[in-house]
Amino acid sequence: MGRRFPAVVAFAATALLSGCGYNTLQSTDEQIKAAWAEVLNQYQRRTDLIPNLVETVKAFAAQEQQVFLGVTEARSRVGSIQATPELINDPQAFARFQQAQGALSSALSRLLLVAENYPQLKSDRNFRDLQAQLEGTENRITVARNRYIKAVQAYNVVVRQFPSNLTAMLFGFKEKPQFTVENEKEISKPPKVDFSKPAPEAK
Amino acid sequence: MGLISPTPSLVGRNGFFLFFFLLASLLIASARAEVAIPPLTSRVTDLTDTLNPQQRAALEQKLAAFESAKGSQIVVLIVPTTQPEAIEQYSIRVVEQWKPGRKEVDDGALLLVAKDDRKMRLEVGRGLEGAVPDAVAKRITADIIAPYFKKGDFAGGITAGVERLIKVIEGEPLPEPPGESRPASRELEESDVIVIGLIVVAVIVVIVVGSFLCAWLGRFGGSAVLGGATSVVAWAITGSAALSIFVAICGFVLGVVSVGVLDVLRQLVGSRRGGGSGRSWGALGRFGGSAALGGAAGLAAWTIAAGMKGAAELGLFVAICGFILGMGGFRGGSSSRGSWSGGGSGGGFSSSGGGFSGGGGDFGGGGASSSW
Repeated sequence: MGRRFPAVVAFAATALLSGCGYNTLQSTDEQIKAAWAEVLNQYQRRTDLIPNLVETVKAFAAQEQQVFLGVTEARSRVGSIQATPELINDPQAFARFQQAQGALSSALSRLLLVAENYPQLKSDRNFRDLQAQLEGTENRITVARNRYIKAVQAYNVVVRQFPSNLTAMLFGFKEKPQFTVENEKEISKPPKVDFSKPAPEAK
Repeated sequence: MGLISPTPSLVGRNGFFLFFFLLASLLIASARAEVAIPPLTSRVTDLTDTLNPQQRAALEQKLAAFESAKGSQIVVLIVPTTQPEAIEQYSIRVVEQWKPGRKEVDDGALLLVAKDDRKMRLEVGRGLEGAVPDAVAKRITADIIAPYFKKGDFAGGITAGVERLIKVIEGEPLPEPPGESRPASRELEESDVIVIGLIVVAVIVVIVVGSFLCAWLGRFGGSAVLGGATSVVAWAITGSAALSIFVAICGFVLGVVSVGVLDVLRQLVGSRRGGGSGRSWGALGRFGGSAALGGAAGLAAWTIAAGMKGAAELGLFVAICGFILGMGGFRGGSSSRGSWSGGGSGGGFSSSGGGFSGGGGDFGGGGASSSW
């Protein structure tokens, strides 16, 4: 018996580590990191587009100061939050980041809404390209967020399920924050067109 | 219902609620039913019968010619509607399933037309986002295709759009398209790894079985029986006589060689016992030895398949197989043969089924949507 013991322990350890989800934890954790990096990447891409977009709209609709101010403020608030990969380990910072990006989303949709009132702007080649880029980036953000959501879901299931939850506890794997539903709604809400306000060119 | 409510007076009420709950969830489910993604069988999939066979064939030929010239895969899908999903959501689901474009190059593109929604989307693979940025995709859909669609000329619009897309992609330096030896030049894929893993497992099995046989029948007798047995198994699985003869020779050689190796191992392991180990597993004992064998085989399989989907499962499976084999539980050859062939076909890929398939390109949601 004594001689068999080391081999049994070695086998048990191998079986435990692969069977109790240690490797699954590692790989799903890594997938979350990759998915989150993509989310940050696409948000950054959107932030980078904004100055150009604001300048282009300004050239045609200089009087819409309020909207420009809103976008600039929202952008600087986003910039003030350190968008690091570690964000996913801090639920509060994660929520702040989400909120700032959500505010920027609505400020941007207001900007595009204003642009609807300027036919010259709408037909401007530069503006159309920028708009297409912004739409594409918003879509990429949606895709990246969905993939992050799926990655976190897979990971959280492993962290909470028996027996891998014991492994997770042992090695300090914690549940990761998910994008919340309220925010999801706010971001995916299509912009509302308000026809009650007269178009500026009619004035 | 009886399980939910212990008293009869509650059965009716709970049943009532349960019924409504089920009904409500059924209604929600049916209201939210998403449009199914058709299987990818050709480059042009038209679920609305908008294109006539000639137009379809011409378009498919154009796309096939482009793929063989440039390597980039463009596919076209026409559906009646994507409701209740937005066209972007449906589109990303389609490319996640179809995976047009080469793996790692990610040079696929999908032109999706939702005819009744009067919407279209050009979904661009990650590798083409440089050649076809969103602004260019928008121009192709809004400025080139949409005017045709407004006139009701779907074939003309799709052809014009595809031609422009091809022109745009041609300006992008992409890796050379593979020549005629496409399957040979491909990188190691998941199916290949599974095949290699199975071969490794088979060799281990042959060595283990061989050591038992040789211990029982002597080195050459055991090896001969082993060679014969492996060839029969190989013949049963593949049905190829030439292969089974080759396997028989391999089995015989393996038997002769492996017994030598195992003898050395057994002596090394068993020497502490004072040479009295005989046919047993030496110092580890049968259980311990089997466990070690299983663990080693599993680890080997897992390492080989590392990074692949199901690597851990494969490793675990191999480990268990190794353990059982080590315990001498290799009974019922037919059942284990069944599991082999099951393992082989379980990793089956659509690409082996002939016809057209996506190359494994990745999409990140780039592209543009337009309506007409």
